[in-house]
Amino acid sequence: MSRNQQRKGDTVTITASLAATHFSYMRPRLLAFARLQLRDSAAAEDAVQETGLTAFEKSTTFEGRSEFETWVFGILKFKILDQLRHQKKQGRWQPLDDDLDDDTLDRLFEANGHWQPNARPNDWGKPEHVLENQHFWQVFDACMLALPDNIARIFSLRELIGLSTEEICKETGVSETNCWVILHRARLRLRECLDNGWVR
Amino acid sequence: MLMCREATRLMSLKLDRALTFKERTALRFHLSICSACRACARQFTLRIMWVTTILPLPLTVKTSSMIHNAFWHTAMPGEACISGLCNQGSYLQKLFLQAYKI
Repeated sequence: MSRNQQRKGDTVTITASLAATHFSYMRPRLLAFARLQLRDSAAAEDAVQETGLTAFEKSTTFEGRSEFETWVFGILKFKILDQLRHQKKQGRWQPLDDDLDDDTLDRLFEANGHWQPNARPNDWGKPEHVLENQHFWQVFDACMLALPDNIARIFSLRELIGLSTEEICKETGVSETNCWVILHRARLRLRECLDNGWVR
Repeated sequence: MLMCREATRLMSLKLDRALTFKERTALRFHLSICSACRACARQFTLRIMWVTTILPLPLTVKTSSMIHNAFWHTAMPGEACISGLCNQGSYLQKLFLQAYKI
């Protein structure tokens, strides 16, 4: 049974006191999610802390845990964006130039445009089996951390926070064309890393 | 003819913007003859699912500005606050939850 199905069957009403309990139960996942994107434990702690404060300040009654979780993760995304903006304001972002001429593509493909023999993607089987696999998520976590900061940040904003590339331009000052270039590399690198670390 | 390197660029791009007719056709043809790229394309699209697995659901721009309004009672940067709704946090919260009921 998938996680989503379990969630669907769960119709406990989340009242204010249950919300606090459930929030502490969610906390490790919230922290992991924030850390993945902020790459800074203190900033991740802050984001989760503030998420808790906002969630309880505004909390009403929720039908089931999934509603509550959607709500809390929605808040966390904004807190992560706040933290990212803060990091940017403090000048803690490296310039992107270095990341734009990395050798990812040359490493993965031969001069004629074919996959290098050892970089050819393996079949991962059914997506639902992949995503239910706990080990997959551990490798995913490690692979995300292996990405350079700038690439990981743009990947997170797109794939985990769910901003459009147009919105990412506004947030980061990176042109949309460069965004597409970076996302292409990030996806290839993550795919490669997962293929090596998880499937093989 | 489209090679694997360029095919991966298009399958990545497809996740961020709509492809042109020419791009779509070229990619479709390449995928029909290349199993490695088909596997790659499937792995790229796992992204949509990993968002919905770690998180209950990804947020659209509209929904995110709705939550933003609900919390901060102000419009998102560069967006107009829909007059009269910005101060109704709980109302928007309900709307949001209804829209995203799993």
